[in-house]
Amino acid sequence: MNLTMDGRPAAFEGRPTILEVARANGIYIPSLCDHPELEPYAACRLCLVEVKGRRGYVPACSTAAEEGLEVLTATPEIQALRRGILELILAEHPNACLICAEKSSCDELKSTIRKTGEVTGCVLCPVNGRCELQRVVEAIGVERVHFPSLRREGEVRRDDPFIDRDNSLCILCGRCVRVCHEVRGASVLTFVSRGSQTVVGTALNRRLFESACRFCGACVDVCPTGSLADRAVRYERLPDEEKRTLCTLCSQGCGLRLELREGRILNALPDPEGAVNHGQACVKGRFLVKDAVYHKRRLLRPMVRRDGRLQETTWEEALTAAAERLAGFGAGEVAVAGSSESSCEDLFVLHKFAAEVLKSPSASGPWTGCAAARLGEASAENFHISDIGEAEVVAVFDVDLPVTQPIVGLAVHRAFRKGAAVVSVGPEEAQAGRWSSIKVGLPAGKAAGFLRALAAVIRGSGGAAAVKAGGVDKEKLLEIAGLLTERTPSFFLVGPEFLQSPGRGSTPAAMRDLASLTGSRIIPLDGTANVRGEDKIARAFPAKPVTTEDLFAAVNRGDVKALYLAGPFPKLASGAAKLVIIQGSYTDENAEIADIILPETTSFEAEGTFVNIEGRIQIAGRAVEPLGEAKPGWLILSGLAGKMGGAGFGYSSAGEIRKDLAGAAAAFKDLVTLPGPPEGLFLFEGPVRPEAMTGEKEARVRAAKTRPSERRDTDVYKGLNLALETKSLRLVRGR
Amino acid sequence: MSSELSLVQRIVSQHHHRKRSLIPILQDVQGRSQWLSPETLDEVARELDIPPAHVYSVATFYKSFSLSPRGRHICTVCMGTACHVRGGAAILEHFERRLGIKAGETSSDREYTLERVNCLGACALAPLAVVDGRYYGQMSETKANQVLETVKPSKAGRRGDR
Amino acid sequence: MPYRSHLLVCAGTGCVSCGAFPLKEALEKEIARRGLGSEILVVTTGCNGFCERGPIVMVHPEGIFYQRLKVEDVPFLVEEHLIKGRPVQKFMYVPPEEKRPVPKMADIEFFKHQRLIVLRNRGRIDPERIEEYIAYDGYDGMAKALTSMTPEEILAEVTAAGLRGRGGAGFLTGRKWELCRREKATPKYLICNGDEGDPGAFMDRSVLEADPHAVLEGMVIGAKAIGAEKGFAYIRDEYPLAVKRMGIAIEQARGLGLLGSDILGTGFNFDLEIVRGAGAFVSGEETALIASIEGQRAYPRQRPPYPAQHGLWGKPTVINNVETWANVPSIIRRGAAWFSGLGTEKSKGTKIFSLVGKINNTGLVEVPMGIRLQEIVYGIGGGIPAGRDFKAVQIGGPSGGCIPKEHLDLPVDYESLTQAGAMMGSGGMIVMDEDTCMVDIALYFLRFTQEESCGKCAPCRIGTRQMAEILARITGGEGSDEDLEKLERLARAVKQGSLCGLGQTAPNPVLSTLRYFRDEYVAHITGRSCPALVCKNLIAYYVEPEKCVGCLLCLKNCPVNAIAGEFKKVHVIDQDACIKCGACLNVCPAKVRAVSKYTGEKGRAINSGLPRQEPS
Repeated sequence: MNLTMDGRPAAFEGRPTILEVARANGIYIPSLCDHPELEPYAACRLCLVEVKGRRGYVPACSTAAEEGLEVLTATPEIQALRRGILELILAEHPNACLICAEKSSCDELKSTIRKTGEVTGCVLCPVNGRCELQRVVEAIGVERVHFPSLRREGEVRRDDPFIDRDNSLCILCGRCVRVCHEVRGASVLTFVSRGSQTVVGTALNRRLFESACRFCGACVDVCPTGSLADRAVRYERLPDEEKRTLCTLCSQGCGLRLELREGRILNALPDPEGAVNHGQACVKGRFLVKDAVYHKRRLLRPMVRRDGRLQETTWEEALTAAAERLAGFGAGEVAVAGSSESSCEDLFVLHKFAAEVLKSPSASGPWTGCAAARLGEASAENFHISDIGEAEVVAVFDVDLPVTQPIVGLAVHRAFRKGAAVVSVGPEEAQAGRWSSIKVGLPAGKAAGFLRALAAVIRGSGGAAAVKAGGVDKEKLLEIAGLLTERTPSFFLVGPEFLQSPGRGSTPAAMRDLASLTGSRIIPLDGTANVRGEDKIARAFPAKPVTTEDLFAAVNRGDVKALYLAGPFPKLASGAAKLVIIQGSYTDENAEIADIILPETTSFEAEGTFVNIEGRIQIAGRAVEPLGEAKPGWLILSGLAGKMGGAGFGYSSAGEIRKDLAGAAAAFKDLVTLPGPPEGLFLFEGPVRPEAMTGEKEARVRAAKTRPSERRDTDVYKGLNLALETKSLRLVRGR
Repeated sequence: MSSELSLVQRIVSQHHHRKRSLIPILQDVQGRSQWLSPETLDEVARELDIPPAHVYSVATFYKSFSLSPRGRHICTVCMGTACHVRGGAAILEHFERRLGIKAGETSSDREYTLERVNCLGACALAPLAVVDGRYYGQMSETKANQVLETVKPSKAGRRGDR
Repeated sequence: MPYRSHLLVCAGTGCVSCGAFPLKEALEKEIARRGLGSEILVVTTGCNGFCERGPIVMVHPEGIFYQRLKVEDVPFLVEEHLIKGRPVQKFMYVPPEEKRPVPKMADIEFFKHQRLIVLRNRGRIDPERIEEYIAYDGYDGMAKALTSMTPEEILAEVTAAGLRGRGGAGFLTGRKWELCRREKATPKYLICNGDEGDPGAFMDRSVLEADPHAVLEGMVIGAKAIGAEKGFAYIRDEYPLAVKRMGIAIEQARGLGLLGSDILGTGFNFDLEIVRGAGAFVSGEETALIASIEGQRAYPRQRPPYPAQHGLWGKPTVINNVETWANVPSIIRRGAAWFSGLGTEKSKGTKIFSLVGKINNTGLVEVPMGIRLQEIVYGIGGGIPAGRDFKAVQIGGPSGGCIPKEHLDLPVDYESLTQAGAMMGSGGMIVMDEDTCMVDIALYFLRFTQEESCGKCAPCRIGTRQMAEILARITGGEGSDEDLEKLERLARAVKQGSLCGLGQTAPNPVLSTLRYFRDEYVAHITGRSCPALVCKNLIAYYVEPEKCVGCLLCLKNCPVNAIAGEFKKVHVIDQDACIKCGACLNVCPAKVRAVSKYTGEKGRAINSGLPRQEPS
């Protein structure tokens, strides 16, 4: 379809807004309240344009493009109107610097006087140089503000972690309120009072922290001024470089843009083009990447224990020592523990090393307590988080979505807003404050009974006893049963803890039964960055899978005498193993008794491939040079393997490893085509096999059934518990 | 354990827990408790299962709602155009002087609250003031003084319907 | 046995606050005491319209109109009129400037020129008794619409009648219904906009209090036309009696099967819920009203899409004003041709106006469209009290403008008023005399708009505040020469830029007073004077030494003790302490008139103590 804009034809499809058509055609229409992720708001009135045949002016952001429209975006009258409106906005906002003629020669003063607290002009503002209002003022051209200043009064709120709030800079565009409500479903920020007394605030003016804010940072990211600002970069200079990478602090696979200055990370921002997150993030990816990379517990130098003490040494010495000592053990006496947070490259080389050089079992994940494993292999299939956004029914089984699966949580919220029914099932105390249509508080041990009761009700075979075993009253069961049978598509989002079955019966079996009965799709939700990848890589090697618990038991039995720990492992007693080599990024309890320490990079210091919870394969680019002497895991292992006579370990780049991995594991057969097609590259899945349980799966399911585990702390990254090791996150999590 | 419902619970239940009835619920609660305390607002949010920010946002938008305790006697002066043209502003100032508070405030002894309202629709009686629910038309300084005399010995408890 | 006489006691809000109910009780008691209980019935009715004169009692069947009755008058009235058959002259209405009373309502100028369609039942039925509404052809229109008309036929009738929205915008009602009818989405909703927020307007209040069934009936008919089953009556929180009467009406209508499911056995369902406003003028705007019913802040939304297409909870919704709905039954009952025979070519039917301010006959009037403004002000309104000069009449509330003397011959219809810089609005007509300062009026309206602005869009939120600040400076004597140009520039930005009607029309009072009374603005700015002697910073109160008799009245009544003087000695106002409250002027006896107000140079001279005055 076509319309005319400023005399030129502009083509469009579907039903975009006039503003969207303008942008697609390179025509500038200013706007401060519009945002691509939010519904149009039409409040700033800067985007007013003229449409032939319509009275007055219409806001381009909320007027639909139609065939044959004649639009004028910049007549002299419109420009005068825009200037007038902008002047009014500037009367509510400190504007001295914005219209100052000496702007350009102010440079030398800028970096020092910015450290005052109150903002009276751009030079003192945390977002100077990256402020949307500044850009609009430049584009429209305002030389003088003819009105007296009507600045909002009030202190700058500094009483929350991460975020400063300065109402004197607010222009009431409403983006923060809208993103918090429409996109994040948190509804922490809102408009308070009315008219020119309106301010953006929280319920009863409480701290964000006391208002159930998760500190995802979305409000800061959409704020066009410095009203909501990231405190950590307040006094920093502007970045000189930007690198795209992935966040690996959980399993969503969000795209991040890291801002660097002189090679150092200043800030992490969500990538608007992130295939999974589309510009959203969570508190970890948004605010804690710097802490993770530069944490004081980082292992930065190779170390070897001599005379009872760990001493720093060179790589050559450390690797030689490791090779020599490992060679002293027989097949099966050395065990390797991997991590589902490591990259595919790291994991491939690790498993290869364990299988070919050490000829030893390796503890792959899935670490005990993995939901996918508990359900059996057929359940860990590829899916699109966006599909959940189109669901009619979503049942969430003991997953704290905003904390552990934030992007999945956003999709569930999207579905909820569109009218989907969301059933939240989990421990009683965790149900308060969740947005959902139905809340089911289920005490521990009742999971299987509940699922079976639902199935019974649906089948019509629900005797009173079966219903009672559900632990939930009958009306609720009927309601949920009704939803599941009448509306489709329906998803079961399952957390690992729900699938424990300390009581009678198998929860996984009951869940699979209910899912097939209702045509629901089960999606097991695990929390680490590469749990899907690790699962597939481990299977590419012949060794039987073992869990870290298995290994730990074997160590204590004395079957395993030496350990190569490249991942989390229970705390070893001193002397439990004859040799402990740790390849890691942070010190932990086991590091204290380790014999050799090989410092590993975090994902931000080395290129690596990760498979997110959807099964999507993405490359996390290297953002900064490795800190200290740290090296990527695959490089360490290649060196070590080489010293132990292993063949085929001469890797010098991640790309080379990917070639081998593609050949070794069917799931990765298209790996070398990364970044892949526009819709993304996913793990290759063979034809879906019927739900027959092989012996292997049976064993796994039984294992899961009888071994409950503690709830995994999702704030742990490679052994570093961010919630304990950083003051801000500790506060946010309430620890 | 007593299963007695609180005021908020009763009213929310009368409105069938309908989220869209937030405004009538707040009106009914204020009708009984005279003002909306922070605890009340939180309770409404809990009972209706809506975000507290939303309740607070609505409660601060509409002028009907009082978020601070009100006095035993409520004096409302009409500021509609007809009343203005007939000297309403002077009447308000007179009340402000007599009561020692500005419009929108409550006296420190919690005896009086002075409010202004944008037209009660009784324009023929302009200028108009309402004291404790009773309409007093054709207000003057003298009449205002008389009215204030009648409410001065504060009668405990009972207030007229509005 | 039929009663030989009915006493109709007006019980609209105005009369109620003047003591209508005690009066009614007194009448009933006296009638009982005199043994007339089976002959004479006392009935309360809705607002009569002549609120200035309350409490009002009409005696039927004679049609005698008694006004300003007190409880003490009752025994005499009963004795003289009801027993001896001699109507009591001293309780009757005497037109201003005249001596002889006018006994019958039908002869009183205030009522004579009115043409009652919407208010046809006022003063003659008890609004809390549905039987009385029915007795006067009530629900006949609805019956006709439900039993013998198709939705298209109803639509055609309303369209042919030319009914336009009475809430302010004047949009063709039939056209709005048509737009909604065409939409496929369900359910559809009907809303009655009773959020009459214009200060000085109380038409909708009166209709809801006096004849709520007219609104109900209109809504059922409308529901049939567009295909809705649910409706909402949104009534201002400040109208408790209207809420109550509407509630009773709904209950009674339901009770008789005239509302609810299967109305009149036709299989048509429609029910109504009352929603109270919560003190926000902006919730009178259609989309803001919708937001309010949805339980949100009353923020207007960008249109299109219009509520008729995408309204309450995203469904097609028709919102009409109380008065609009109340017109519908008559149109259906008597036909479009009858209705369009009234009024002008483009403005059909009648309009209710609230005539208030500096006018003798304050009250509610329903007149045919096209009537000259002059006739309303002088004919019906009885002119300006106390012999003062007419200055302007403000029409359309905060969205409207002032019509000055030279345009008094203007016909009152939508187009003429808009062209003159005012607006029909909801029908508030505020008469102003020479003692009204037009700059002060502009400031008053801007302050109102500022307070009621929802705050969503920048032009209205900030622009009206800037305009109000400029006006405040001008009335405070601190205006400067660029101010008028600034005001006009601001007015343009606010008018063109605002999101909703509140902002778009907010500058009208300023623009209209600038258009017709520019000289007053200039006087304030350049001459530092307020010709109407209103703006406090520009006037001085002065006790004329030659006239003062030393009665001490002003001295005693000055709230800040700013007057010095002794008995039988000339009083002197301390200009520094004077707060310009006007109490001294009010209490100075009419025969003395010793207190004057001055402005401009003379005022400034007095303010600074010249001529020097000492108490003599």
